[in-house]
Amino acid sequence: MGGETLHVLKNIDLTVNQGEYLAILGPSGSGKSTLMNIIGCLDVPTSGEYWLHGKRIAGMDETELSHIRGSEIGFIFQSYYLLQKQTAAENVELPLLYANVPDRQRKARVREVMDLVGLSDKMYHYPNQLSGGQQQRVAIARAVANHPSILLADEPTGALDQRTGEQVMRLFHELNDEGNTIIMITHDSKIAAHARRIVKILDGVISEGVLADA
Amino acid sequence: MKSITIIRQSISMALSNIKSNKMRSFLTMLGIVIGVASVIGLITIVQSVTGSVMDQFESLGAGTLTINAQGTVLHHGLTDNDIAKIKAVDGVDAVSPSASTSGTAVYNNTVADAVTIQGKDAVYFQHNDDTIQSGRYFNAAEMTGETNVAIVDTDFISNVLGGTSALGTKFILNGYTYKVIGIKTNDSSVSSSSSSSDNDGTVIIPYKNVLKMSVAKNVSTLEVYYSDDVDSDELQTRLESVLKEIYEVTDDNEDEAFSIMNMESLMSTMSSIETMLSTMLGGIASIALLVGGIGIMNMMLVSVSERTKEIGLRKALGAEPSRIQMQFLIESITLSLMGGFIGIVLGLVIAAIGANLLDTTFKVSYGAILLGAGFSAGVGIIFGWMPAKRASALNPIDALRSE
Repeated sequence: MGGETLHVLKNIDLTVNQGEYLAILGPSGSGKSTLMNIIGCLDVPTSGEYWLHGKRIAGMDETELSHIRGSEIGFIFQSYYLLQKQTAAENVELPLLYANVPDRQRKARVREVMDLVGLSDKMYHYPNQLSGGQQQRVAIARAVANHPSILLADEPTGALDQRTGEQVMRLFHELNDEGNTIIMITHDSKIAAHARRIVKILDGVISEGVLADA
Repeated sequence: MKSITIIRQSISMALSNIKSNKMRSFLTMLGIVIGVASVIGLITIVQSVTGSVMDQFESLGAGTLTINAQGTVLHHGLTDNDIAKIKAVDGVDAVSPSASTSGTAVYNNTVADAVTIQGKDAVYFQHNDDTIQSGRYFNAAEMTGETNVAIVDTDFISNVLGGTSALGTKFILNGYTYKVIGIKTNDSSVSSSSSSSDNDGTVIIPYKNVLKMSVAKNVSTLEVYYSDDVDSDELQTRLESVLKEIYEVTDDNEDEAFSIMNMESLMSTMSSIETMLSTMLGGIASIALLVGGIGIMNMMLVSVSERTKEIGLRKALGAEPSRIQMQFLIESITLSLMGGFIGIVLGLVIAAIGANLLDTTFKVSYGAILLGAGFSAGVGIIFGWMPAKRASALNPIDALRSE
């Protein structure tokens, strides 16, 4: 780590409304990961403001950030990040555990979201007993479990073949139709085309793209 | 309620992690097992050994001072008058003279020439009420030396009286006819000479009868009984000054005339030796515990770095830093408590074997068990703290990105 500050993002001014389905499209090194980290409250901007659901995120400490992440953000990662030693249901349960949701409600919600992603028959399977597409659906169930404000997906189809990728995209549409706000980060314009609004990012600067067909 | 749930979840997470790394967890635990086992083992052995010595002392007489007075050439032993003087000393409850000799017993056709003869008086039995297993002890009228009554032990019954029901049986002891009025309880804690095979048993008769049999005119052994609220060391000092007067001796030659055995002060010396030995051996054994703790810390650090990505994910899913710290801390405490538990069991087994080899009574020391459990929990906290802190401080972005 040098002492010099490297400005990865410059003059970002981005507003995302509730219920939107937004894609942030950019090649690697464009700063899209940094932008995702800030949106996901994993990082705070060195300068500037970030308001999420009426809360000022810049200036929060680690404990406050963890609370915000738990209640407002549902992460979906390229390589799923499921805990291999726990069942699908236990993985989905994690954000509810950290949000201190009572036992019975937690179990009911896990069943509900597993049903939502069409995996209610795979509750007690371990990740290595599931296909890539199924694992990503478990991860999506985990992301929506605690009713977050934003579903934040980082290359959600990056590790999947085209057909399963399409299935995941269909699931995203359904989730968006139900009112979930989705922000998807990708380098793939075909994937980005699934979103209803596209923001392009290059060298840390964003530009509003064309509206995709709904 | 909330924190109980969190702790319960952390414990189950810790157990599943320990289970999935069985070999490594076991080897790490081994350090704690050895440490706790040696602490528990050593302390328990020390306490068992000193404990059984103390029991013997106690059976010889707590609340008792024993005066051994050979006296001087001019003044041999203790006369009735001397005994009365001693009984009058402040703090003395009662005194009981005793004497002993050996002799020959005859019953029917059996002649036994190695019989231990002890002379006691009625007061002795009042203060040692478990001495008689059946029958009765001497009454005041029998203490004059004119009545030939005897209390016999089971060895005497089997060796001399032919194993018959002994009460009321008459036999001849050193030429006098004696009647059995009581049977002595078997002495288990004190291994006396009566257990050796060349002894025909023990007969207890009034002490004046013993004096009549032996050439001695006066008794030379006197047990002094005192109550709990009397300081035995102070009483001993008072008795010494009375005895010095009786024998007209000074500090320089009093040892030749008399000696006083103080069980209580012997016992307190013994117990301070025990404390010192326990502390010293326990201290040495805790070095093993320290090494075990370092092993735990090492394993926890490896575990944190292996699970960096998992920690990052948990943080992204909303786990507070304090919760991550708690999870790892509970994991290290669970690990060391498990080791501690095995160590306690192993230590007690070692102590039981040791006590058996040393031929003493094995005594479970609850203090040592508590110490072992406390030590291992403490080790878990102290050596788990740093790795847990490190895990909680991980930056979620770096953690998620790590491979």
